[in-house]
Amino acid sequence: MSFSTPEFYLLFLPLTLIGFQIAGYAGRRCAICFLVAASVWFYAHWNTHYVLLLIASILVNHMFSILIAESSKRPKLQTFWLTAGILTNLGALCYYKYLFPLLNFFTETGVTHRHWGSVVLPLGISFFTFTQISYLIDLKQGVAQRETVLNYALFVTYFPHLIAGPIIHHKEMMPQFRREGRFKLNFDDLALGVTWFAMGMCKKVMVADRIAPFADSFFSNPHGMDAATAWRGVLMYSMQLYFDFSGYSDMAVGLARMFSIRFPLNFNSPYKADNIIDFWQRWHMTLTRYILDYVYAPIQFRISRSRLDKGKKVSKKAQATFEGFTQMVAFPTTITMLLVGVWHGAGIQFLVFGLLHGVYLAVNHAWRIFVPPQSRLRKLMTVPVGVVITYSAVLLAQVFFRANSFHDVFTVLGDMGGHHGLGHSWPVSHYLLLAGLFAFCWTMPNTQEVLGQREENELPNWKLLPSLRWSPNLGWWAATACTFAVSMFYSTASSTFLYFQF
Amino acid sequence: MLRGTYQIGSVEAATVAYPMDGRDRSQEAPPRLPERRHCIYYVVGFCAVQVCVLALVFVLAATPWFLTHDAYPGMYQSGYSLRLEHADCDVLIYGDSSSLTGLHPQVIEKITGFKTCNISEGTTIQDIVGSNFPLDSYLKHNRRPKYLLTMYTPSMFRPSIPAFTDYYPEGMLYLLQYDRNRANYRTLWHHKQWLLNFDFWVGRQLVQELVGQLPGFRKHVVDARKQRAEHGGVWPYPLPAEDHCVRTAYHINPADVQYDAANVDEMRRTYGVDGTTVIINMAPVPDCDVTKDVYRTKSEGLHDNRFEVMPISEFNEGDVHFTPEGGTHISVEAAHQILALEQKKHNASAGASK
Repeated sequence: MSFSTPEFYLLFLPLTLIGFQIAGYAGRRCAICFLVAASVWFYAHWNTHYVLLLIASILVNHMFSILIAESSKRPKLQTFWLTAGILTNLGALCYYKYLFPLLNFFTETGVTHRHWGSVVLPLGISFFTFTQISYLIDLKQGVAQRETVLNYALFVTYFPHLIAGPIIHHKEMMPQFRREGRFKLNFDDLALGVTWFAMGMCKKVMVADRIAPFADSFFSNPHGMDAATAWRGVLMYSMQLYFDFSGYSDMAVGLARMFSIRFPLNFNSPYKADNIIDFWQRWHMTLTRYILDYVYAPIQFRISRSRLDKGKKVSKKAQATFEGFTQMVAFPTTITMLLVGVWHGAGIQFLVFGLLHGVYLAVNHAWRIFVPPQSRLRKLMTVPVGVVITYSAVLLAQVFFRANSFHDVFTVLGDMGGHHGLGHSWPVSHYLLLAGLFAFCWTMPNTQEVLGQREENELPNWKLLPSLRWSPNLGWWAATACTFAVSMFYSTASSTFLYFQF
Repeated sequence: MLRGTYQIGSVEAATVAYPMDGRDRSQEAPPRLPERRHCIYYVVGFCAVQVCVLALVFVLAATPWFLTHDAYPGMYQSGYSLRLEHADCDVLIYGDSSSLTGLHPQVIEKITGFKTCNISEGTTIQDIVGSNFPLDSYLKHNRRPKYLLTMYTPSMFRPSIPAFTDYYPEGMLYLLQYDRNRANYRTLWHHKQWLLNFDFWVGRQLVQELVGQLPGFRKHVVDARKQRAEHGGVWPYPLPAEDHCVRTAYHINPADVQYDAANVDEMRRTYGVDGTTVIINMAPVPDCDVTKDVYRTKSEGLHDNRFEVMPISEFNEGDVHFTPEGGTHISVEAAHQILALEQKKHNASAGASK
């Protein structure tokens, strides 16, 4: 059951909202219990057997959290419990996500001669594993508190983030769960949440799902395609991914808000980024935040400490040397992004996707560090130029992200390069469609800006925005209700989000 | 501003603890607090619109207006049997969409001299209203025919179809337009998923119709009802001829097709009374169809015509619908089949009088 399926928004959501309101009268614990039960039911609707995995994961992690909290005065024991907790989580993740693809890869490459089969990937396993690992780490570091099993279960299972994020952090969730009196429907939040959800639904159903066939038909068989067809397929996929993920993020944040729970933003007009560093601050923002805190920062910390131990500097000046840059910027960045690639899936193409972004980021940092601010080169790099270069780099990496195999990546790139001829021009409607989508991505304010939940981005400078900003008035009511009704007609039971596979 | 809050690659990032600032974001006030009353109206109004829209599109689908505003010109031709009163055809053609597009009354009439009408409806309609309803509706207002000539596509060779067999929006629309009664509504209520799917389908048709009114999107719409009436009930299917073997979405793998002799007999038993001869034919398959022999073997003895193959150029939607040339070909064969039966009847009556 995905957010955009009729059974979700016509049955599950209304019943959960009503049930939440009724449970809220009986107090906070009762409301939390109800939300946990509803979330588990939501997960069970996909696969009943894996509910046991989800529940086991919560109980085991909660047990580790108790052990870590209670051994706070014995650091070695605490480290042991944390290590055990992390290994247990990663073990489950590796088994379900990486083991069989890896074994089958060995078979394909002739290392082994046995077919290993496969295992169904539990939905959202990466998300609930990461969320729980971060909690255990923070608990050990003393920046998190021990939680009741009920609060903890809601933190992990809360259905708006359970399947595909955003990757929430206990620091922003637990205080909300602890507050008495917030577990009843608040119409201010409900109005905002409904609008947010409707906007996301429109992006998903009316844009992403409508252009998906162009991308799917191309990537399912890219062999022997001309350049025009290849470019159309790749550009359409780029837009599909944008609107699919943007739509999902809006729906998740909107859903959480309907229950007066605030989620961190996850998507902030990434194609408006004029450099790749900026891109990663806008795309899957909670993943960036996560890897920054739990992967990049520890690597960076160890490198800095090791340099200091050797009597080397870790200042900005030290970064501006080749050796310093390589050690303190390029290396940790590349490793971190490599792990981001692996997080997305067990294929060489995901590894290269991560590596590519690591290289992009390193080059971007090198540009910032080594090219003087007043140089002519910098002046050439205007914002539109930066946006086009960034988008092109992202587009190249998306070929690795989407292709069905590593071999297909080169087929697609060959097609795009005109290996099978330039082909015929597209129909005018396809030009218009893509032009419209690019114009939307590059010039329109995003959902959170329109809803007044974020300051405006720097570009473009939207003077009209204040007058367009959402408020629960007649105009917005008509627009939201009609948009949702039309999206509803186009929603189908079989539609899923692209990020569900991760 | 968003920029600079967290960046992969910056040394400062290791010490910038964006998510760990301990700030309870739930405490942050939104920029503007709207009036609570407005929010209540907004949410209640939003839900009311959705409920009303779902109800309204269902009601609209039952109006004659919808048939000309549903962005689906093909549906306007359906219900032909209900529009015929005192047509009193001698040869009545009935069947699925293969017979709707492939049996030309004018060709049969010219060869046999019998007044001929084609009241066929697609399987998508018969699967909802049942195969009897269109036929019985015709028989209520017209004299019984001498010959009931039927034809069905090989992959869906089921002459007797009970009502509510499978969901198709075309059938639901037909039901709401022509076969509204309490019993049907009650049955529909038990198929809630069908109702919802149909509601969404109607909504999409209306949106497409609305888009079709915009400059640049307007299309020439043919009057399918007039087209059918002018051709004695056959519907010239508006697609070009196929140039390679294609299977439609409705196509079932021949290996999975289960032919039911009892089903065929039921059709003969129900309508082969009061001087009506029932002819049950199987539609031709394209000569490029590699599975044609499976159909041939499996359907032996069930149909009255010989199993035929035709060039794919005589089909115009996969292996189901026919071009005018393909239709003429089939109609000539069917006319000769009727002539042969007439001759047989004549010989039998001559023999009896001797």
